[in-house]
Amino acid sequence: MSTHGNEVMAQPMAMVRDRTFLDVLGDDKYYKWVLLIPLLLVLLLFMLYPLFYCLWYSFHEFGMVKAATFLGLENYRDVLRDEEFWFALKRTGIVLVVSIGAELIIGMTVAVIFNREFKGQNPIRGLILLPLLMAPLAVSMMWNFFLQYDFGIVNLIFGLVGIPKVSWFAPGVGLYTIAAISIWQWTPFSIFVLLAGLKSLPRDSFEAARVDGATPWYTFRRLTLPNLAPLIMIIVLLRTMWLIRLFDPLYGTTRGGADSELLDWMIYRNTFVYFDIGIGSTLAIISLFMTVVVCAVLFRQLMKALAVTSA
Amino acid sequence: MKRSNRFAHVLSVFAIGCLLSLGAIGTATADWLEVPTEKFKLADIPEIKNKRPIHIALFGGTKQFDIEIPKFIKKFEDKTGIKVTHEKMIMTSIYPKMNVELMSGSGAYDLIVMETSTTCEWAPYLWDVRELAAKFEPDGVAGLERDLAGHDPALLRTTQDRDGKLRGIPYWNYEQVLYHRLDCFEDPIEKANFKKKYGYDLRVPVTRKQLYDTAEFFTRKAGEKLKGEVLKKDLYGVALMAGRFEINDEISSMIWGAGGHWATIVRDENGKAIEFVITKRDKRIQKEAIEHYVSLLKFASPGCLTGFWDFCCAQFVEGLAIMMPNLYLVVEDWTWQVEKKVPGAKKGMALCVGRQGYIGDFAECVAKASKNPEASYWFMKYLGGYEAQKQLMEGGFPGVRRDIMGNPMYQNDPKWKKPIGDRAYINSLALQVQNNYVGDYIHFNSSAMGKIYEMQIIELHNAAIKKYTPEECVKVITKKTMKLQKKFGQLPIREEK
Repeated sequence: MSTHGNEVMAQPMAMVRDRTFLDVLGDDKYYKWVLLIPLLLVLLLFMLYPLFYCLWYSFHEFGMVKAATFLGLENYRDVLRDEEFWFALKRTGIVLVVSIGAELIIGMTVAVIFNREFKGQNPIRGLILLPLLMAPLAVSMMWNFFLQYDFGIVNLIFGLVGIPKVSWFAPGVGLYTIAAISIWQWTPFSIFVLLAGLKSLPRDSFEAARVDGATPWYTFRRLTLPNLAPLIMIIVLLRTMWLIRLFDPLYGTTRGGADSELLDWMIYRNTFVYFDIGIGSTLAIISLFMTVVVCAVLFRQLMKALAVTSA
Repeated sequence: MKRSNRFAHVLSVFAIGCLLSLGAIGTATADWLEVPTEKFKLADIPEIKNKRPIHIALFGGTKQFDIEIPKFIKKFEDKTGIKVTHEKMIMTSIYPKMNVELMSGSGAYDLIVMETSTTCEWAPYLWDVRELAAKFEPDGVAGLERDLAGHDPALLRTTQDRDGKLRGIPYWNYEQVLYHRLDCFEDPIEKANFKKKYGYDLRVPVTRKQLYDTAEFFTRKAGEKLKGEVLKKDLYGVALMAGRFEINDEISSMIWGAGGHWATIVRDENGKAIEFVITKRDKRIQKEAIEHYVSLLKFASPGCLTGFWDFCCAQFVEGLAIMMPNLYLVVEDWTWQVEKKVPGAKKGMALCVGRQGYIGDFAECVAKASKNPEASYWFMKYLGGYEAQKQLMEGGFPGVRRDIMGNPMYQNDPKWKKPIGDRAYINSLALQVQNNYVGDYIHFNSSAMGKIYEMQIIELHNAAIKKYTPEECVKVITKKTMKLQKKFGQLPIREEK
């Protein structure tokens, strides 16, 4: 009996023992982790480790010469008291608002135009895409030549039509020129995202509006825009993240001069020019924090917009 | 007999007089005579035992240089059988990239390229060149010294640390000089007009007032006349590098030329540097120099506010600017084009106002982390050696060696006079002047100079765009110099209140 009983008990145990590692991996419960673990390891190694390392340095004084010294929150206090930081932040905000605003307005206008059939539409759409395909640093250097005060093609054309030359990178102007370079390169992104949205809009609602005698402007305001809201939010979200890190247009032009230093350039300057790793890390953490906060707000708006359109 | 004695006496006095005169001339121009030094060439490189490939960093500034250097690399490879790979870097990436690699001890570069204001900062990570010579030269250090005797001593000083250890060998010098349109200074109409307006003769400026007056005088609008001819475009008296790049080199030159410093070095009785003091006098001279610079911007194109050396040079070559008061000798080869592009133009060169144009050079240095210091040493010596430098100089670059600059052939042979002789003359003259001062500049004594240099660029540019007054700018620079020196430097620093 007892032997029999042992045999009965032994059977499920043997079944458990027989389960191979591959069986476990194949289990639905674990399979998702099998797929996720490589990615999580990569994230851990290349994102979280540097992030925490950066956070650690932000509490230290470190110039690569002597060992790091713990400072507590001193770097944060120094950065927040530094007027250059606030100027850089303000300039970054201006570039962000100007660029996103212009890209959305131009992008929407061109997308609406492109939404209609016209002769030569494919080559023109292809050409519009070109700035996006260029290396951002090459773009900034190209515009630096085009906008050069004495020899740049833009001022030469101005001269031919009797417009006085413009000092495009002068203080007070340079910041907007940098925003314009970014707008030039990234507007095609908005155009094509919005164009894809326009193409996928439900035709019946527009047909109904047309039958009801709605004006194009009314249709645009009440139908097109609300339907495109999630895409607009995606553009705003992505461009916000990219613009907070705007660097290349400065590298090829003012190098932060003429009152155009942005937050990312300030981080670069402190970290890789002064090699003040503590201050540089502090700035990077503050920049990251702001990006996360802004993007969280925008993400919530995106979710709301999606909820409205899907309803 | 008596008569012949008298004749002999007169003759001997005359002969002694002649000898003394020649001696005096010889003393005055001693640096012009070819220095009898070892003319180191590729064939002199001995068998190198360590055959590991080497990787080197080079300054990739100009097309011509980019063409010439790979030729030397190829010759070196053919001679030694050692593979040499190289990277060209632009000025702005040299400091951050080299700094990271050196400090981390990565050994990514066997030979690094150094802009010499970072010599003291990087000294702990670089081999002492004489130590390498003792290891690898068949004659030991004497073999190196024979070659170094032909180098310019002022430039060699820039590659020494505070303890006098040589950390690299210069291969590209960029002393600053004053470029000008000689034809405009020689024109009778311009001379007469200038005299009438300012009450003294028009000449290539040697004082700040003259520079200011001359810059003002030549600044004209399109439609006005220059040398009796109507101008089609606006003309500027000066071209300045006021962008956020190398503005500090121009202003350093102005400060040094007025007898000031960014910080004065205090030495002990043995001549060893013990601290830096930013004296009241230094601050006054700095303020005056910045004021002078900002005042000159009135006579420069608005494009100067974001302009670098290439912009200035383009302006000069296109006939849009009359003077470049402080520009590198390395662009001399380009400036000649003004004579082709502007009818009747004649290019001139002179020492900068104050005679102390910015001095510095690019040097190749052997990293302590190098896995083949032997081959690295020989390549460094070859690139700065007589044979390679002669080819570079004849290819249009300012030399780093007195034994080439002083070669009489370049002065006496009309074939060489214009393409090389004039450049060699002004280069040698400028370096001779700087040789008296270069050891006292903070640039070649502070271990924080790489950072201070960049900070100066930012703050001086802020003064140029009138974000600060010159006085405020001096205060900011003083405060930040103190902070950076205390944080990254080795010598103490204080401000004289």
